Amino acid sequence: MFPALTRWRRLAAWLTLGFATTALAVEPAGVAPSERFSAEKRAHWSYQIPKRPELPEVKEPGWVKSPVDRFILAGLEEVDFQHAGEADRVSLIRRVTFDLTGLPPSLAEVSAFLKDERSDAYERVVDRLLASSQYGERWAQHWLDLAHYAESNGFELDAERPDAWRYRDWVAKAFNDDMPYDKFVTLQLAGDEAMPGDKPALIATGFGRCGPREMVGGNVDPIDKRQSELTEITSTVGSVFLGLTIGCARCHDHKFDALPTTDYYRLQSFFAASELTDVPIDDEAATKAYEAAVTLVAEKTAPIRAKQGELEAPYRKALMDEKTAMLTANERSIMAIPEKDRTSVQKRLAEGFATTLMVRWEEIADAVAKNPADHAAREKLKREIDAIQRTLPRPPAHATALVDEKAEAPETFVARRGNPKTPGPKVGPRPPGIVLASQAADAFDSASIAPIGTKTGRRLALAKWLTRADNPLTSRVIVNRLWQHHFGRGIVASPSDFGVRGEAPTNPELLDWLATELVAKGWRLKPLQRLMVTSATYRQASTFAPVERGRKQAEDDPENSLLWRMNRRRLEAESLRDAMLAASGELNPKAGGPGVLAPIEEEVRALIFTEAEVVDLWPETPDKSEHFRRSLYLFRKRNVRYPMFDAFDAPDTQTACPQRANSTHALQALVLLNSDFAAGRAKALAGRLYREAGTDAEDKVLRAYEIVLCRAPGAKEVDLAKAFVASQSELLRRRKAEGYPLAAPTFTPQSVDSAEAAAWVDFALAMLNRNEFMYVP
Amino acid sequence: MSENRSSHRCPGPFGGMPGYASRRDFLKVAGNGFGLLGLSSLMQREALAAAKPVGSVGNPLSAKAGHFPAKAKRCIFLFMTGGPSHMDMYDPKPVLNRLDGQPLPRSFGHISSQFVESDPLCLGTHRKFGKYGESGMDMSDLVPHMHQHADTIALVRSCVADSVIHAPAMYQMNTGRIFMGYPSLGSWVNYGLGSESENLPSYVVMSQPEGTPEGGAPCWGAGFLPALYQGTLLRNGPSPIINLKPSTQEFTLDQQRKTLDLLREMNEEGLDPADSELSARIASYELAFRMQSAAPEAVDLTREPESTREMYGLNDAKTVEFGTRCLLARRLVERGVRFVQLYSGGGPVAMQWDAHDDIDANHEKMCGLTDKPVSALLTDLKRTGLLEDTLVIWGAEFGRTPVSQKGGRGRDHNATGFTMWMAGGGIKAGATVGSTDEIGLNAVEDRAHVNDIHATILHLMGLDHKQLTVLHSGRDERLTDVGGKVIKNLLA
Repeated sequence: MFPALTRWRRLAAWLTLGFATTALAVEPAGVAPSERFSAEKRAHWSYQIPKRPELPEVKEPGWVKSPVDRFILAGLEEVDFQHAGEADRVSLIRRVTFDLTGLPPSLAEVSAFLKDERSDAYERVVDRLLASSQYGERWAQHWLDLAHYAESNGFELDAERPDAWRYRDWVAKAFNDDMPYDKFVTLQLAGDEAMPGDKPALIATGFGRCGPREMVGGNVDPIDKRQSELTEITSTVGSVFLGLTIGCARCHDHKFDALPTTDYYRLQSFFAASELTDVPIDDEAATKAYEAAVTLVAEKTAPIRAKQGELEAPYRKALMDEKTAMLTANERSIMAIPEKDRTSVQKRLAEGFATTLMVRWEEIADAVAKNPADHAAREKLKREIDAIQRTLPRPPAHATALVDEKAEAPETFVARRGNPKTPGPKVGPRPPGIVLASQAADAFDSASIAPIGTKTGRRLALAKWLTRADNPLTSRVIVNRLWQHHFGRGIVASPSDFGVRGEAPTNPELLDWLATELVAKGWRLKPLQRLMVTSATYRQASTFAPVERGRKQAEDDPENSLLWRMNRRRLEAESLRDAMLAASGELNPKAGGPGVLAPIEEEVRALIFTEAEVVDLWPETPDKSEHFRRSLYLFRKRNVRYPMFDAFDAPDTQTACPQRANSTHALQALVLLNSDFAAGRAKALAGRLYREAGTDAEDKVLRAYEIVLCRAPGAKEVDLAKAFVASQSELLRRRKAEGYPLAAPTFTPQSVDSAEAAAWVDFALAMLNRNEFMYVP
Repeated sequence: MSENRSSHRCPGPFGGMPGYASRRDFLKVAGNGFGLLGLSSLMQREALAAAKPVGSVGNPLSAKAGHFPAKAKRCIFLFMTGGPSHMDMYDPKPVLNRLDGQPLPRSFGHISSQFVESDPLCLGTHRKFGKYGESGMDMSDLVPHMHQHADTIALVRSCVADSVIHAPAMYQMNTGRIFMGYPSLGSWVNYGLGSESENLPSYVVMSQPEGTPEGGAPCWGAGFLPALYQGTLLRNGPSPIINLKPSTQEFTLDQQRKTLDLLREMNEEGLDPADSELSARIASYELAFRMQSAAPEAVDLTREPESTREMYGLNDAKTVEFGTRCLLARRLVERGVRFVQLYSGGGPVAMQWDAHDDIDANHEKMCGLTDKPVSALLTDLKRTGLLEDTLVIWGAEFGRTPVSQKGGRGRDHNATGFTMWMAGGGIKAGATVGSTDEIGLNAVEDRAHVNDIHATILHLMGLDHKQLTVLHSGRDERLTDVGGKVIKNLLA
């Protein structure tokens, strides 16, 4: 196929022998020809430039509240489906508040909405929510799922990324500012090229730094390492912005989509000069101040370290002697030869024995542990050193960036079967040919890529192409993601796969109308989301009355792909935790900053991998009120996950997650019944009930329903609750008499019986475990 | 219990998706013009789904039949974190001993390992090897208790992995890939077969108390399969599963029972019986409650007879820890747990098989901790008849180099040739499959890549590795990626 095949082989051999990539320049490479695609391949719907459809005519125009309703209603009318009625107001405000902010509505917000008789009461709620700063916190999480954001590298050392949070905060702010999506994309791919010298733009390139990264010592092959960095960013860009599973084409032509391997490496080539760099963004004074603090800490710890050394010295010597005694006669004789007289093999052997004789910290720790007094003394010294080290301020600020280091990019070669050591033909930066095929001839011109200062300008060129009005994928993919998060299912149900194996759009006209609307209105997301959440479609009840009609429609359309009712959704892991904190009244609304280390289950803490002796591998943030901040701000260590998030399908941050799973299993129940977190929230909620509703049982039940479910209880529910508290108080009174401790609410009036107070904790726990609390109608 | 993706449902191994047929009919008449386009992909999926085992749709974890009758219903994977040395345990190399201390002959090529230098020195073994059992299997004096099982186990001496770095190699031995984020073997098995236990998690992991293996939690993760398929960590003691019980005495079982009764009554009010997801959530609380007594019962060793405790080494400080976990493994599979994985080694290097500094000192220690318990586990499984349909696997992420690391007494990582063994359901007892070259560096005969090992394990458990798939990011992903062939010589 390629005339210069033997040359490639020779090159490959060179590379495997460990020659630097400069070898490639010596051997001029053939350039891969552009592929041609058959008309059939080109005809796939998602490659066609979206055309703005007319708004469909409908038989029931009175139902329409937003242009999107026309498309949905037309679809329903065509198959003689009935839409559901409007949801009740409580359902509406819970739904839209969780949807836009990830939090439940407050009591005041619920009651204001219930009382508001203006015709646009609901729209006012939507506008308030879209303007709230919690909106950005909620939608940032959706984006971070795609970026697979975490604050550590993953793999074995899983080292912390101290500045990763700056990108997380940048995303939240971008959503809150309603940054146009074209700019949002451009800054994340090429902030340094688009806005040279701009710090937030530099931080935005952290998008390419979110994924896992292997960092180990020893003989790491630089070519393999570089390829895995580029694979990570290329596959992510392909799936997140383009909705193409181009990662499949790294080793071989895509099996189903018209994505040849060459196109994979053409996309990768945009990043050929980009390096994973932590760029300092603090001024010199801050750096100096930090260095001074480091010196000071070193000075303070030095005498303690010396003491520890003295304490360990006899143990170290004993271990050393023991190891030396184990040397064989042969080994001894080699060691006895003066270093200058050793043969090269003997030198190597002697060095090897030295390694064998090395005393490791764990051996010393084990030996010292046999003497309780010394052990205690050593532990005390370790803690003293640790306490001093904790006084260190955070290091000077950096941007965790992905930027070009030079204006000229190294050449990119197709890696045969995905192996960079068997390079194939040369390729240059170019978007996938199958998409270009449907665009105007001038959609992308690689000749126009020009260096910007010390950067190649390649990533900016990619961003410009992605954000062209005639890019058939960028706008469709993002409006579909918005739709998916609002309605529970995308118009294209495979949100990161718009290829031939992905799901076809259930309503292609609606998708194209939204895509063109986005571009026409300047790529702003909030107005588009407003169209979605103020629609009659969105306001439908998630249950269907009459039930019989609903059953029949469910039989024909079990996935509700036509949206003849609203989809009920379970709270996502983060929202569930945040909602529990909101209900208990403990949620700390503070925004931004480094990730918080909240308490974690002991079993998980014990699993944190380390080879070094570390006093505390999970040093909780000292200020306890920080532990109650929104889940977005919890420190995300890739390999150490909160059991609650793990159980409730929070993504594992190892690859881009376009859509979370929704599983139901017993470990979830265990977390919500037995974890310290659940018990703590139940105690605080019970305390809140006492504080806000006093000692009357019925008042407390009423308050609990208002707080947890945003509604008043029915008479039966009040009776059930009261009967439970009465009988549970009895049981707990007996247990108290047996000497067991009782759970205490965070607040109780003085007169209250402790057994009864504990019964309210159990009631609060049950309320927080209710299906109605965990699901948004 | 239910597994529910609000959309883009994956076909999964269990049976036709409810309503698909009617949906197809429906889409035929649906107007959007794309109905027919959607149809082709749906029909493809249905064809795929039809080829898959059928099970209960409501509870994805309920037991279901595999693709064909299984030889092994459950599996115990003994993972020797860090990589044991085959040349010192199961794969004697006389030529290597003759080369001891000499530079590696050029004929063996270049060794790619994590730390080893480019011109390393050979390191012979100091172990005494013998031939055991009727099969005459080679074993060294590091595993004296295993000698009696020479006719129970089958050696695979030609194992091959793709990375010489711990974490990626562990990911591969567990998920088939050197990357994080893919479903682990135990997850796949549960996805394919479900659980036989009503009251216990079906995929249980027990790690070394000193610490986790390098790869950490992704080693037993569910990747892109739903969270219910992930491994559950289990440890010894009254609260063997995270959050199994409240951490304080403020909440007790009888008290919690009442709270749960209240919860159920509140949840059932107005519940549509056809609402499977909410019904599953209600049921999950009942299972959680049962688990609170079932799990402690499973890990309660007080009823085990003294002879058993002695056999597993529970009376010896050296073996009590791993012995306890081996005994727990038997109790768990006895109670229907489908997949149990034990990590020997984790945390500090001194508590791993990662013998960089001194192969003898390290392996004498690690074998001392594990040899007796592992042997006891095999004896016990045999005695109870469980071994007939239980697969036991012993191995690690890779083996060790025949050369020393920087001239010392230690060995570096070797992924191009190492030994694993298997025993039990469907395994040809006493067999020795594959071989390495004269010094134990490279697999030369019947090369058994990790993908092949996985294909074989799934095969023994009644699953076709090519049919056990889940659609993710446009690919029908499987445990064996694009490789995998069943190691026929290993099968009884």
